[in-house]
Amino acid sequence: MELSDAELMRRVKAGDRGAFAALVERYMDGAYALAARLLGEPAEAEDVVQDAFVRIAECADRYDDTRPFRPWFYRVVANIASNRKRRFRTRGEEALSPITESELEAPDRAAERGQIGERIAEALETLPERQRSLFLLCEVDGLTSAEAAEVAGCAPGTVRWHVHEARKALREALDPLYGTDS
Amino acid sequence: MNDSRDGGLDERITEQVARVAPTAKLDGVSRARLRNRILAAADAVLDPAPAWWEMASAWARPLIPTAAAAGLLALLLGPVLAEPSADGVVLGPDTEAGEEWMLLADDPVLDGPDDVDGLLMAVLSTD
Repeated sequence: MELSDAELMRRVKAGDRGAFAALVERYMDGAYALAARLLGEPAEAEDVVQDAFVRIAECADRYDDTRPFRPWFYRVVANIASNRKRRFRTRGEEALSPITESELEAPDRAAERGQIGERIAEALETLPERQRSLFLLCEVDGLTSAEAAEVAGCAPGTVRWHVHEARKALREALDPLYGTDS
Repeated sequence: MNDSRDGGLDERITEQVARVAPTAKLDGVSRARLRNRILAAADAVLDPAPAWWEMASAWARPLIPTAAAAGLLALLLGPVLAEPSADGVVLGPDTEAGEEWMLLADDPVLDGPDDVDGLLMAVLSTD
């Protein structure tokens, strides 16, 4: 029988390495996708995921097992990613760009995308960074609005509003194209 | 724009967005490498001692009331059971009364069971 996240965390608290490995197996992919989305750099994303898991092993006793694990853990990932991003900026190094922007610059991908893809890419770029991130986290990466809210440190209603506004902007950008197609 | 057209357009938008900005995925090798890195990094943090302690305490928990009762009984009865008799024999509830003790019980000199000094003197005087 598969153990719940809360049960695994209780065991991690007691120093159970097997339970910790099970949590890593369960959430590594999601954490990596989130970190990569927030940072845009695969190697950096791997470091963030590693730090996040070590952090939860260190702070397991602070976990409130009446609350769902996944949003809490994603918040830890987002905080570490955000700190890392800030450190890069204060050091004056080239800021890490969100993955959307780096993806948009890739010429091979641009060729694949065609006209509609180009229009989507342009429309995404015009969105405010926070709105774009929340839209991608919810619509592409599959986070719920509650989870994205935990990551962004705002209310789920705010997330839903941003997603709605982003979708409206994308619809307006594409409507002429799809309007002629359909 | 009607609702069904909205829904269809939304689906196509999501599909296109996922192509333009896909979810980052780890390939098999990177995944295994990252997993090992994480487990190695967390190894020092995870302390196995509390797990053993938890297991031991879980095993011992049902025995605690019994142990407490036994401890209490020992405290109450300890001084009585350990009371050495004058001739060096430790008296207990199963100790059979000797002849001299039976005689002493009838001695009118003794005021009663609390007259310890009198009892002691009587025992000594029988020797």
